[in-house]
Amino acid sequence: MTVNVVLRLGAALFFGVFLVYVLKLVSKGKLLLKYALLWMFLCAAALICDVWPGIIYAISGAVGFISPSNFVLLGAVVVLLAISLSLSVAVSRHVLAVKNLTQRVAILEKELESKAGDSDPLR
Amino acid sequence: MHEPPRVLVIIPAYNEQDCILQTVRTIEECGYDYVVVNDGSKDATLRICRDNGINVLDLPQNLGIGGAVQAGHKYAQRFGYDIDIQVDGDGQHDPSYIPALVSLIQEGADLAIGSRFLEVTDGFQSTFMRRVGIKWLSWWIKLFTGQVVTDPTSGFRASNRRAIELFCKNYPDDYPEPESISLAMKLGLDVREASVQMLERQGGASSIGGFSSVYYMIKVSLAIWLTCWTHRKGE
Repeated sequence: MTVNVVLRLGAALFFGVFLVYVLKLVSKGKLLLKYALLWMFLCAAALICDVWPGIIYAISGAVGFISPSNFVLLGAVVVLLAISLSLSVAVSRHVLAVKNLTQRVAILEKELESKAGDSDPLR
Repeated sequence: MHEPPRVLVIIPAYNEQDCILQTVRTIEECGYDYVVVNDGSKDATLRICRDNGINVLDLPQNLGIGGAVQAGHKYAQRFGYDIDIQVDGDGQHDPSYIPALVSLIQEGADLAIGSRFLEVTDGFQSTFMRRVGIKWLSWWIKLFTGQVVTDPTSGFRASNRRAIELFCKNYPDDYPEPESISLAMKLGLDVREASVQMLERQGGASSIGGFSSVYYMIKVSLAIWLTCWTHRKGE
């Protein structure tokens, strides 16, 4: 039931640094809080499990995993999959937005041009 | 007789500096309004257009063929055209067939497609592999819509106001022709074909070819199936 203390300290350090880095990105304006919350929440969850590993043991035992590490790895894969998919969705939304804006800009430029070009009767 | 419809020819152009001028001059000779949609070309396409007083809609970013054609539809809608005709910028499409497409629209079609395969012609019929791909797409569209299109990849098409409105709202991104045909059919638009001859491209490079064509076929087939599934109740 005992997890190597060095390992736990290392994990705590890693997630601590990661959390600080995420916060720094937000404060520099390179990462929107909207997207940062997810990572911050993830760090917090990892830190809690690091301090009280019993939680992991309890859940994985209750669900029926042979080893808690399997449970942790599976959980990590699922979370990362979900995050990747949500990023693809966000990118797609932006592609659509850029397309609409590009077309709008071009047509607006055309309208200005035809207005400058005097009394072209546009409807 | 009511007055003739206002017709706009849309010429999407991406890096077409070698043939854009000739394509436009041919269409001007036929007396049509036109707009060249410069899809963020990296070559001299835009400069050539501006220098020669060609009406050009300049997209500040490259959007790909779908986004460029859609911009043309939006232009047609904004400036009140009744019919818009999409023509490739590389001189493959002979404007003398435009009246055939326009009269199909006037007979009640919403989307009129210029087909190389409707009748046997001596025109450019594309390579063997390309034709196999086109046959497949044709069969695939029939499977999901029950309607026959002999040349689903044709980029020589006419749209009426109803089709223009649809394509302004919803137009696929890359390789958009077959997918947009299925979309139009599923939404109950009247899609018809007219026989045309095409020429071999005068310059520029085809957007389809090589190993990526397998990827293209899979992607377009999937897109058609998804479109038909999404609109299975004709919404």
